[in-house]
Amino acid sequence: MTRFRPAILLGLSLFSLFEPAAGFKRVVGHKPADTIDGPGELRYFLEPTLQLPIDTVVTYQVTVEDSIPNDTLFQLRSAEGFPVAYYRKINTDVCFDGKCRMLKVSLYWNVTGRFLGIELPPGEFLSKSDHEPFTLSEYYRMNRLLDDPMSPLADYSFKKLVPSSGGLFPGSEINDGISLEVDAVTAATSPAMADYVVQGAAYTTYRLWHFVYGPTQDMIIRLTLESLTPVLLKKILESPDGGDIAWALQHLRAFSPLSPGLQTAVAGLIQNEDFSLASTAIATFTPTDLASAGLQQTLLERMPGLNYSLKNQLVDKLKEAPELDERLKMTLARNLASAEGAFLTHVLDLFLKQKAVDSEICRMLSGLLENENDFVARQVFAFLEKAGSDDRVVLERMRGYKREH
Amino acid sequence: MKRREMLTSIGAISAGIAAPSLSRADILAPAYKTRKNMLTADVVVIGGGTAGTVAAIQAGRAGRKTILIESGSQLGGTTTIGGVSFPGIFFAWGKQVIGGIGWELVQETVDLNDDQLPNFSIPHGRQHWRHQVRVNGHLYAMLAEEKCLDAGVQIRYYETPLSMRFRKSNWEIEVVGKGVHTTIVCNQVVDCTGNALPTAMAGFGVLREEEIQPGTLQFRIGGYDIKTLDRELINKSYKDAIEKGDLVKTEFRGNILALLSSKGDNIQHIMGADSTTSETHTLANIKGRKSLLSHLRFLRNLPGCEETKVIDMQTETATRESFRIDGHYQITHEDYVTGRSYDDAVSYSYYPIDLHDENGVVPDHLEDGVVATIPLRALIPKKSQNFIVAGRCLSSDRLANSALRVQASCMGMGQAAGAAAALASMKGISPLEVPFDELRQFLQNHGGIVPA
Repeated sequence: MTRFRPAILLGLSLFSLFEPAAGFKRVVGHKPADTIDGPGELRYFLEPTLQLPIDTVVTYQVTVEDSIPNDTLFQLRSAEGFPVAYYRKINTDVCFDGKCRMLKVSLYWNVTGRFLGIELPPGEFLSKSDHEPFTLSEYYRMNRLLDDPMSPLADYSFKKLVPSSGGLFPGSEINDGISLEVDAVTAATSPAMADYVVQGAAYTTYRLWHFVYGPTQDMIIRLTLESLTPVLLKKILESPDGGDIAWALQHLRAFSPLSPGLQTAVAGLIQNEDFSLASTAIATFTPTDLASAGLQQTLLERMPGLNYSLKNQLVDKLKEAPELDERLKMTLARNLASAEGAFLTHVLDLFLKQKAVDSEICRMLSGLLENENDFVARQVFAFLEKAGSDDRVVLERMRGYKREH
Repeated sequence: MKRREMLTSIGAISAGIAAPSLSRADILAPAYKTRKNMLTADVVVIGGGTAGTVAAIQAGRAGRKTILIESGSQLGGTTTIGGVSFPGIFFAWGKQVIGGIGWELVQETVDLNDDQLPNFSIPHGRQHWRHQVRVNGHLYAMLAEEKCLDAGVQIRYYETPLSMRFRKSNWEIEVVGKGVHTTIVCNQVVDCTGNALPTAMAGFGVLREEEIQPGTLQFRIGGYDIKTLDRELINKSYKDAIEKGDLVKTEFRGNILALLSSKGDNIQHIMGADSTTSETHTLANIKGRKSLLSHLRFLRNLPGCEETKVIDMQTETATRESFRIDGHYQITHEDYVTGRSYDDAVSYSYYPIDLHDENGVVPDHLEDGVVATIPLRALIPKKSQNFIVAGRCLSSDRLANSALRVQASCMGMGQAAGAAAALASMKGISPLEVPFDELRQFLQNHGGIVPA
């Protein structure tokens, strides 16, 4: 889960990175009180993926159609050429109760297209009912809401959000047919949606959310993919944000077979507490990667203490290896003596798939025919039958099992 | 087949139809006498639904001789027969809380159907359904059956218990099915019927509210374009039909547009639906189908809905509530929403408080970080021996039960009950007497997630 950090600390640090590109004055911070009552620059940022100084700024003309009047996308690059972040300046009319004012805000995205934060130039502030400025907690809330790519705002029309509302943003295709009489002032937010908007600023939230997750985000991802390298991917894999890591894992296949460094980084994620992340990490390895005995050993070392279903997923993944490493095979076979349930059947399936049915393995497993758990003995007997071992000891034990059952 | 051969065979069939006597191939069967069987088992699981399937697989994998009795024709219960093929939530606050056999079944069903698991990394917020896993119910039923058989479980479909007697440290269960009357002697019983009927038959206490949650017949409709419909006219016609008594308001909560936009799924409410006995379940099924039929006819008279069709319909009305056991511990609403911990907690449960009534349901979400747990004592009826339950009928108050009843929780309980019964049968004791550390270790060895 992305954690929102206090704006002062992180905002300052990021601002110093971004300052040359952003072209705003240095942040002066704000009062630690809940209310921001004066003009000044405000930045509310989430944790970035890459904490690198900005070296250059590249501008791109936005060719996709969206409702942001300004058509420039700024890409902030590090000295290594990594796209550290992106931003767009939003200058657009917002109308409240029939009166319009300009909303000036810069929206920032991460290297992976994740929402990074908002920045307000001097004298600008977000406002709600009756132009009342946002409180500090409302800025925090806005950032949290904008950091939710799964927000139901994606599927809602503004009419549903504020049932009795009219249009607000002149010239915006989103608001066609909406009159100018309402924003958050006169319209009650739908109760079902109250959790997804800043109270009193439903439309501003709605609008900014759709900016963040609109066509600009797709363009940002395309630009990052153009400059993606194994080194940059490895850096993204080190991000404190799970969403960034998942993003990197999704794009690893383009660099298969993985370098030893990337293999180690991905293998390290298998023990991540985040199930989806760990599962995706396991799925990332290709048969070419799995040809490495070193990687197989690393995966084996990751098994103890692993989530049970991930452990089984890892065993299944090893079926894709061109060949099983001898040490891995023997270790798994030895551990079967204490294995129960699904793990047992997954390992036996692996051995059959990988034709790991030599006399040594079969003899070792045939000892389990005398297991007090009938299920275990039955599974091993079925395995040995399929393995077709001609080992004398194995055959004798199988005959013994048949006599007993 | 050549034309000449085919004509010859048609001739033979025609001759057979015309002949007044039986053809040579037919055998006149003697009058059927109900077959009486006597079976023995270590563990008998009654009810092959979400909890019972998992309990039986667990007992089988523990190496115990296990029989699973199911009154229907396939396994999976609410997930499959009921059509609620989104078995609840297995992850809470970034961590997996229900794993083991239930999750294994869900994951394999998803894989085999090329479906995708939700991204559990992204918190679901107040939209808990974001973490629901949709499964192909048909596939789930087949995999559940395969896993039972693989675990050595003897499945007995179309059978139901008639009586339960505890004699000489064993249960004697009288079971009837189609043309079969069986007596099963077993050491341990796991009641996973969801309705606690075997518990009541065994003479242990069961509880029930005067009013129970409505049931739902799952179906899908289609044949119209929601965007082109005259909503105002439809609403008015619907209101008129309710006022005239042609339609029952509670069945679709007075919101016909919700039915049209959802195209069915988990939307209907059949008040009082109860699956405890064949009589009450018959009534629930008839009411569910009657409701769908009357609404279908109503819709087909509306402009734009003339071609509305039933695309799919489950064979049973799924029910949400009936009897609960009077257990050694009753989980209360307060316990659930505060995530109370117990020394004998065997599994987790994670779902909003979800009490359906005639107005629908407004889920009451758990506070950040809260996950409820289930103590072993809540699965064991007072004064019982060698007896345990799993699933919806566990000992809990009504509000706690509205969350505990969800399938993922039932799967977790099922595995715990199957494990406790298996260990108890090995030791010749009651499930409550199984050393808890041993039970915990056993469950973990089989992938179960036991609260710390």
